This record gives sequence, structure tokens and C-alpha cells, in this order.
Amino acid sequence: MMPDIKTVDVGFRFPDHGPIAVQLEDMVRWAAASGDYTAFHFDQDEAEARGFPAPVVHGPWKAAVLRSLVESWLGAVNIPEFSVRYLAPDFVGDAMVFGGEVAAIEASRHGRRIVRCDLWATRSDGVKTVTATCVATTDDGAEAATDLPLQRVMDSVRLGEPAGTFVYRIDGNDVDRFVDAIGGQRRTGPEADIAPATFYAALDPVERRDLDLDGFVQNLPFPKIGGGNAFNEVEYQRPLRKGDVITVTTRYTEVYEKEGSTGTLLFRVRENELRDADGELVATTRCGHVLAFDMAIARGVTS
Amino acid sequence: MTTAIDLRMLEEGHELTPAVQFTTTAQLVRYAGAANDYSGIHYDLGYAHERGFPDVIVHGFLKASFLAELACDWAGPGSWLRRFATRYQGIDVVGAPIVCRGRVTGIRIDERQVSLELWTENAQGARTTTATGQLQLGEEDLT
Amino acid sequence: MSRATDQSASAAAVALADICPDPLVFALESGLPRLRLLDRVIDGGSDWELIAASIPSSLTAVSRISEIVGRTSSAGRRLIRTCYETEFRSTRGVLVGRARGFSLDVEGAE
Repeated sequence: MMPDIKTVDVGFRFPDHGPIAVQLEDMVRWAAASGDYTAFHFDQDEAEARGFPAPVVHGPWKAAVLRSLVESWLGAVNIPEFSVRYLAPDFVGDAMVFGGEVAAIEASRHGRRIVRCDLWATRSDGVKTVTATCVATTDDGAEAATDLPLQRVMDSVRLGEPAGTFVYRIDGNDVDRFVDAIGGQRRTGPEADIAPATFYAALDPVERRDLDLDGFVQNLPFPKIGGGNAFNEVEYQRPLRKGDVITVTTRYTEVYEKEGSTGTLLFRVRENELRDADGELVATTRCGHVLAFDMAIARGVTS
Repeated sequence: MTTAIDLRMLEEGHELTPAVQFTTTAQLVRYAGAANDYSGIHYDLGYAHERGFPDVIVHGFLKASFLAELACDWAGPGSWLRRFATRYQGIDVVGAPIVCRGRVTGIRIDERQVSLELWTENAQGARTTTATGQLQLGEEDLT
Repeated sequence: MSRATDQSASAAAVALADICPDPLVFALESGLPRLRLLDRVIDGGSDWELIAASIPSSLTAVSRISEIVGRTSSAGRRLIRTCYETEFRSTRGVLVGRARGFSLDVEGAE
């Protein structure tokens, strides 16, 4: 059975791929995919005019073949580094052989497996035309990952970019209902239309589930041991009032982790901008949400 | 609009009269509806048990609301909070007494603004929510 | 030279080499000149280096000629290696990855 990235040993020689005869169609398709329309890669006359017996195989096409072979040899992996040198030309119609072996295996800080491979290609006359080195690691999404993938959390909430815009009409009954729920006293007289200071909670697209970018963090493969709102802040230019039509734009502004007494804490901070029907700024809010993960359990399971 | 506070008589450190809140599950459901916050931890006892809580827990925003209302009730008609920031330090379960307290930390007579710190305490005296607020008072009663 | 790319495939499935299959061509497409300093110019190699944990849906690519190095081969021929480097950044300016294409100038006919 073929070993995969979790089981492969140093020195393991992958089964050769080939010999395969490179087709002219491969070169034309690659030209379209890469934007390299240099004619001697697909035009026999151009190739001969340059002194080659046949069209010359694109170097990066050979790199792409090797990269896809690493993926098929080792299973689902990330390839954060791939470096290839083109030593000699290959020609359309010639039979190439692609091969590779495991040069080194290391463990990352938290036990992720890092596999370094040497790769090569040879042409039918035995000349080595390509050498490459690559670093393959177990996939971040796999169970072996023991770090919070902060960058992917940032991407999942579109950090820094507007994540959503929603329009809410503040109905008088909504404000009264809110005042009743918090046990407050309904205002009377000229200020009867003023909403409570915390009414902005009712206009938060995330609390309302109108904006839900939680899928990624909810499915992280670590035991969640708690979570909830960490803090809320509001700054008003004027109070919210019954009858306001408020446009809320949400933006995640911070994603960070902290070590807490109970586990690793993942903070996501979002800001809302509340504008009225005239486009005037009414309020800005900041809400911090925290999730606690037990990374020790996660590490114990995989070690 | 008139206000109950005489700013010239007010001193930093002045403590607001505390209020005690006893929540009920019905109130939490009511709040969930009013705020469109339907997280089950606030009304689903089975889920709260799964999460390791002895009972459903009070919305952080509801405790924040108690504190904001304490401030505005104290300041009287016409007052509103320009800034209000809350930090959730610990949970409170439904029905447990929540003591809401506040203290004046700054006074700006010309702007008619008062800064406050506010907090909730549980029965053991631990602060479960802390807040700061900047109150804008109503116009002075010149009569 | 800079340019924006937008790729809609899911982040997990995308590698830098999918966005930039040929780092040399990618850099040349942004408007950089292909230097021709000696008798022959060939494609010398490619590197891809992913720095961020994943690739966001929008990237800005900035290409430059980062290095020009001359040496003499064992056969006594002059070689000049030009590195065309493209940096990929998120919309917030965070470096996501780097691709390099190497152009080789070689002295003497084939």
C-alpha cells in the first residue's frame, strides 16, 4: 500500500510516472492556461528555426505535473514551497518520466508533519531535464493540525472588508417591547421616541443572525469549551429614535488569540456603522466575541 | 427638558442608588424576542446543561441594559448615553440576584456631561459585568 | 507593476501555482521587460512560496525584477540570471505568498 503524508518514511521512492509522450495539445492547453504563447512551444517551424527538433515543452508545465504528482502520492497536502529548475529542454512527442523521493521529514512546532521531497524528470535519452524540491505538510483542515488557523478565520469573516449591509426600520412597538424586556420605564413626553442606550443590540446583524460568518469557526476540529460576548461598546452621535430607518454596515476589524486560564481564546471583533435615512452617522458600535478551545485536548488526541 | 441632577452639587465618587434585578426565564425569552438574539443558552435548559451551566444564563446585553437604565433613571428626563462600553467578566444564571451599581467618575459642567463607572455584582459580591458610560444630561432647568 | 486578481474557487483548493502557473510569464504580463543581455535567453526555473495559511479570494500582485546575477559557467560561458518576483498580498496588505521566475541569459549559440 502507498504510504501517505502521515506514514511515509525518509528515502521512500515514489513510483515513477511515465514514460509519457508529451502531446502538442498539452502545450496548447498550457499556453492558454498560463498565457505563455511563445510559438516554439507549439509551432514545429518556430522550434526548428530555433534549432530544436520539435516544439519545446513549457518548463512550468513540467513543474505543474510534478506538483500534482506530489498531491497524488501523498494524499491531500499543502505545498507551501515548491522550487524547480529547468536544466535542459524536453520536446513534444518525446517520452518523459517523472519521479521523486522523500528527502527529509520534520515536525512543526505543534506536531504537524513536514515532508521534504526531491523531484525530477528525465527525457528518453536519460538526461535529467528538471530538478525540483518541495515542502509538503499535512493539511490545516486535517485532524493533525493543532494550531488555530488564524489566517483562515480572518478570511472567513472577510477581515477589514465590509461583511454585510442591512437596513432596519425602528418601529415604535419594537422600542417599547425592548424597554419592557429590560424592565425599563417607557419614556414619555417630548422624548418618548428615544430608544434605550442598548437598543443597538437589536440592530446588530450578527446577533440577529442576518449575517452569519460563523460556519468556519464552528466547524474547527477542536473541542469548544465556552464562548460568548466579551465586550460591547457604542458611541452615539444622537440617540436612536422610533421611526429611524437605519442602515447598518458590519466589518470585522480584529481576529486574535490569547491564552486563557481555561484554554485558547479566539477573539473576533466587529464594528457596526449605523446611519440614518439621510446618510448621517448615528452610532458606531464594537462587539467582541470570544470562543474558548481546549487545544491541549486537541494535541493529546493527535500525538 | 429638565433634569433631576444639579451638576454644581455633584461630586466625583458619588454613588448611584443600587438596583437589584431578579431575572426570570420569561424575561430572558422576552429579551431574546425584543433583541432578536435567539442563542439557546438563554432559554434552553438542556443546552445550558450540556455547556456545563447549572441553569440558563442571562444575556450579557440584558445586564448591560440594566446598567444603562440605572444611569439614565438616575440622570432623569432628557438624558442619554453618548458612549457606553460593557465588559462581560462572568455569567449570571437566571433568577440569581443581580445588583446594579454605579459611581460618578467625571463631571463636565459646561457640556453637561457626566462620566460613570457601572457594574453588576452577584450574590457573592463578584463583579460579573463592568461598564463605563458618558451621560449627556438634558437642558438645565432655569426656572 | 501591480495588478489585481480575483479567483472565486474555494480557498482550500487553491494553490499559488494555480493563480500564477508561470511566474515568469505572470511578471512579464504585468509590463516588466524581458531582458536580453547575451546570445540566448531561456527559462531557468520557478519558485512558489506560500506564506499565509490560506489564500484569500482577492489578491493584489506586485511584480518586480528583484535580482540580476552574473556568473561564468564551468565551460567558461557567461550566464546572467534575472529574477522576476511577484508578491501576492491580501486586500489588507498582508503578504500571502511569493512566486519567482528565473530568466537565464546564456553566452554563445546552442
